[in-house]
Amino acid sequence: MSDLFFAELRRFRSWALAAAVLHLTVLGFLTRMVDLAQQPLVVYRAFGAVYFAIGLLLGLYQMGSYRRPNTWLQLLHRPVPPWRIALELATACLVLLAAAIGGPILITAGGQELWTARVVDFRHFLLAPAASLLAGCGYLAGAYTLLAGRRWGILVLVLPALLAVSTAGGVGALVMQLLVLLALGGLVLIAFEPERGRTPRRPLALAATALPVMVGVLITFRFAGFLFEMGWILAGSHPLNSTPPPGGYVEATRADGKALLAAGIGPADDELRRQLHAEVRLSEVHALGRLYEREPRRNELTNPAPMEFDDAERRVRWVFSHDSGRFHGVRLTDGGAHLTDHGDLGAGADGTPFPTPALPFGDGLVATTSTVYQYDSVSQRLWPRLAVPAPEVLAGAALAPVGDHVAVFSDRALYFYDAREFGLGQHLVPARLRLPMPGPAGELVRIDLIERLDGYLVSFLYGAGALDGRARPFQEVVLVDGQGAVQVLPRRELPVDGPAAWHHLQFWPSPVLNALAEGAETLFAAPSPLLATAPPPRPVALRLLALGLCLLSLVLAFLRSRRLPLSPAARWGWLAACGLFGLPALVTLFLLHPAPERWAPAPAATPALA
Amino acid sequence: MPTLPHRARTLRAVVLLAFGQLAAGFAPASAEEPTTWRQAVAIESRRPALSTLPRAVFLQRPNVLSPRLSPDGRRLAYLLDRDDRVGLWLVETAGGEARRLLAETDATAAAWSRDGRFLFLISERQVGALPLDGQPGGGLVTALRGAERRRLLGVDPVHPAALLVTAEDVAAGSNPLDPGTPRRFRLLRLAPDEGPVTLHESPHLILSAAFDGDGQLAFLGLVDGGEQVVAAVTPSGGVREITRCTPVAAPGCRLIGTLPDGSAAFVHGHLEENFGHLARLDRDGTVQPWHRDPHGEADLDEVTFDLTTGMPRLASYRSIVAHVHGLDSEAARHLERITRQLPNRDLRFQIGRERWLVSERNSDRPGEWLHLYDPARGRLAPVLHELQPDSLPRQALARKLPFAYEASDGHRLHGFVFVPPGHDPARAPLITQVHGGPWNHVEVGWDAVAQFLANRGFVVFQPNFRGSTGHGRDYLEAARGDFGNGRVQQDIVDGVRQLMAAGIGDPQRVAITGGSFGGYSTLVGLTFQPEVFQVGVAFVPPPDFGWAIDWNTRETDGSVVAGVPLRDSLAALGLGAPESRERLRRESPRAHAARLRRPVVLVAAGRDDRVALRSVLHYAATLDVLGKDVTLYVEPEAGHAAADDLSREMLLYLLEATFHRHLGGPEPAPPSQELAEKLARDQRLGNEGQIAVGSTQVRP
Repeated sequence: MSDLFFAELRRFRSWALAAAVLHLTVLGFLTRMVDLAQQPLVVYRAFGAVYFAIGLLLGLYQMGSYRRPNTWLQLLHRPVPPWRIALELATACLVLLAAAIGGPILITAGGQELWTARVVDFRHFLLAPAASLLAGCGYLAGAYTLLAGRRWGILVLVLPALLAVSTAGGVGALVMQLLVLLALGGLVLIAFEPERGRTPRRPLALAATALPVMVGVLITFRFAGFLFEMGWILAGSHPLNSTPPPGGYVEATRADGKALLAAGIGPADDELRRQLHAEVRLSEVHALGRLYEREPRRNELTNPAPMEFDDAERRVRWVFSHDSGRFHGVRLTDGGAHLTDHGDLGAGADGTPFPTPALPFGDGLVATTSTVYQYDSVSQRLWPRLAVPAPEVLAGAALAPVGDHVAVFSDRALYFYDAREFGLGQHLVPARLRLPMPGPAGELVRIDLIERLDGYLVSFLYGAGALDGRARPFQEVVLVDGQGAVQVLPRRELPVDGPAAWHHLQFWPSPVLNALAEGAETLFAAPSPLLATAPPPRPVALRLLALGLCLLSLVLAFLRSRRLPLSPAARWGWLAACGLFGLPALVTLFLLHPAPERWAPAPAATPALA
Repeated sequence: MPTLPHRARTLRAVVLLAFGQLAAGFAPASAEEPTTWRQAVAIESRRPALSTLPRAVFLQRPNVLSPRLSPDGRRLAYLLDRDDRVGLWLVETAGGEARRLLAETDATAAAWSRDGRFLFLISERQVGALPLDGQPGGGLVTALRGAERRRLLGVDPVHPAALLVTAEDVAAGSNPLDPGTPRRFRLLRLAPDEGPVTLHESPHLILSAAFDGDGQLAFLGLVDGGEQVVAAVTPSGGVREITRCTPVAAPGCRLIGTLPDGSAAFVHGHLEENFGHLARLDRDGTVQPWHRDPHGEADLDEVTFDLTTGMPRLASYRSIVAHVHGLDSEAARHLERITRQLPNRDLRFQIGRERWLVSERNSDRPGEWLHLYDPARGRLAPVLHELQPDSLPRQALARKLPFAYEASDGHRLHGFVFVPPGHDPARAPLITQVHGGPWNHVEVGWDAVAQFLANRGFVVFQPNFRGSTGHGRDYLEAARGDFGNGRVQQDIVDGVRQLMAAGIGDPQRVAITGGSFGGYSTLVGLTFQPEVFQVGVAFVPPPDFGWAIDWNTRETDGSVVAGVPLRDSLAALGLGAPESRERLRRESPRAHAARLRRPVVLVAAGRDDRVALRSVLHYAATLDVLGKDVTLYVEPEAGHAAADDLSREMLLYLLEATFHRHLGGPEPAPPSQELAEKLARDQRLGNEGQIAVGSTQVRP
């Protein structure tokens, strides 16, 4: 490293030191109040947003201070290539951010590990690099915004937005963050040229810049649509604002249980349906909720919910450790460690480690991906009580008994277990009834049911993602009797309210780019059966529209490129991009290659009359 | 006079009077003493008509709960319910101010330790100890139920201050509901601040334990294969079965005590006789009846033991009339003194060394009235009367008249009748109030619903149809499981017809009501005997008794006799064969919903562990689809029995309003705002405001 790197370190060292101290103070204070290692996802997201914002401000400030013409000239007037200067400046700031952001996190986690009985796993130490990477992404995004062309620089900010929607977890999430960091770093190096804001000329640099700008255009387009819809709703004139259209998907999602079941039963034109309608009118409708969007994974950085529960009688808090696969006891009275006669609290009589992370829910209940465990304070054991067969994954449960049964559902079936057995004893209760789920788990919206004299009437509503064109909504009402015999009533297909073009807004502007963005969302993420979907094919009209838009983009790009001073390779590249990616590529072309300035011909000199 | 149905006229329209007992069945309110049934009815009708009392009067509950005399008889502890807060109080029986020991407790009962130095406070989930002399040992003694399914047997009669508790051990991973699961039961002695002591272990459920004078465990009451067993404990700690019996719906042979030398046990049950009685059971199996009903009509209801000696002193019978008998000459002498001062009352006793606590309950006066009896002086003095809610003079309510009649097949049956004073009984509407169970019975004592209805001018008939308890094993078993539209229901209808034949009740204005099995009988009556019953109000009714039995056997902890699962009692109750329950299903009101022609009001409970809510909802839905006149109320948080005052008032109001609407009874006072809101909230079926009367609108 050159002097520039150390000079930049010295320049910001006081700020970094102050930030680190402040950061450490805040974390220390919060650690006194709560267990930062056991916060819900939203808290970690909030922390991540703050770290990103700090990096962003630093990037803006740093590059803002250098971009004044004289300073800029002075900066670049060195016997090293510009990219090297950029690298040293950026590296210095990234090091400072890592020290101010990651350092206090490491110190806090280490202190908690050393001086308290709280659970600190290896994954918690990984939060330090994760937070540093986020701050680094923010820094590079801020730097690029000031270095790149005014027309497209800000659009690259969407690259870090990918981290917010990414479903990668654990080390995968870190790799994803690192990739974004490297991509942003590459863009900064490309943009760090004497002539700031100039469109890159080298084909590779141009392509590397154009691709995120295209994605940015696409997302900006969607975001504009989102803002438009929000404004519409706020104005009170949105068609779905009050009473949704009858018989549609939106109405079904908002309906109370009785109304939904009644709609699913259909017209009372035979004896069975008349009886069912009458029973629904009189009965209490039970709703089954999901435990989580997707199952927790070993060593993921965050928790869907705090992985802890309290034994009020013994005044002990049990906290799950991803490292040991068991719950560790912390006395609520003095914060000391608490052990059972087997040591930490594991599964069953022997206290073996849980095969997957165990998420507490309800009153003394803990769920892994396949089993519900029940805590017994007397024996200090977590007894396996309900289980779904492999390879099914537990998805949700009714916390209170539904008549004679407690109900649990997996990605594939709804199970009923004897509630009285579940209330007594410590044994694994066998399932009495199994009802196959009629749709993919990722599209399930709600399950409503009533007890019947001998069995249940169950309504399944599917269609999660339908408003984005990713699911075909339907409702299926099923009768199951005490012996498990199933009678399915005719399925009710539900139209998605509103024009199809609106729901497929993500698709038709650029099908290929949309597929790339969706692929990036799930990059490095292990697939979850709970997120499984079966998206219907896009409407033919919209596919034709998308094709037409690509062709239109191609034609317009061709016309545009003829007026631009592009190399043949660049021209063919843009034509290919516009044909493949459609409108976003065309807009990007306009952003990166504005119309060449036209100089008006100078007036002819007229000799002065002597 | 309206004519009776032909069948009723052909019955032996003879209403039998339990001669010699009727006078003891109620306290004389006037100089007139009835000697025949007709005289009793005539006396009632000649009494001045009752003023209509507010519903609240019939909702009164005792403020003093669980009064408990210390073994030495010097102190009386009680729970006092004031403003819905229950506190623990203590008063010296020699006199003096009562003092409050606890401002608030969740206990529902109290019990003295043997040495009188601790009070045990018993709640649904735990038992705590309260030291009275400043000694250590206060706090939780044991949790009840829980993983070990602990059950409280009672206070240890040997240890100075301990409880006897049973615990159940099931191997981890085993289903405790599976009858085949191996399990161990432990008899535990739990003393404050001492570790548990296991007194005995058994593979059978331990129901009771008796200790000899040396404090050694002498006898055990066990349950084995659905039978009650009395076993002697040998010096080596083993057990030897002495006798076993199949309980039907009352104790077959329940161990309740022992002689001080441990040579014999005291057993309460039927044993080999028809009527439940007190017997001495020697270790060699010899049975010596100790006391049985001298009238030969009733099962033994209660045995009172001396709190200091542990010997039985009194035997009480309450099935038809209340009568108590001394089991030794001294007890008989004291009893005679007491009953001379409190004649013709339903009395219960606690016998301490220096005082007796005498508790008086009456059919025509709400509440429980306590007296302290000084056996040395033979004096009886009221105690804590000032704490009981304001009560009514005894003349303000109707009398509960024992009523015996002959069914159409010649079987002699018992029941009770309330005749509204001051009314012509022949023109008064008749309400048939059927008891629940059905393995249960109406006995002497206060009955708020019947008194409420009588106060409104209704004749109330409470039949103890065959299958009811309290009248001997033969009476109980005579039902032979025929609880559909068969023999049992015919007993009820026979009683109604005999009453009408005797000029009691207007045949054109007859209703039927009841809770649980009584509700089921209500539905049977409205479905199959519409010519008799014009309207019905059914509380927590199983619309299909066969289904309900199966459901209770499968899904609940229900039992007819403590410790004996219902499934093990079915055979003795005539319902052991699946065909018998299938027949009940075929004959059920649910299966014949289309036949219902009379209006019916159904009240169901959301947390009912005896009658599945869904069974009532399904039936109501079926009636609704068929276009029947059905009104349904569901109390979401209520259990099988109405627990709070508002729920109880709702029941009274629904009875009053329904019978006003359909039988021309008096118009009920409008419901309070709170009650009106509850009615609106709980009504799920029926015409809007159907039940509303008066000025308050009730809208579902």
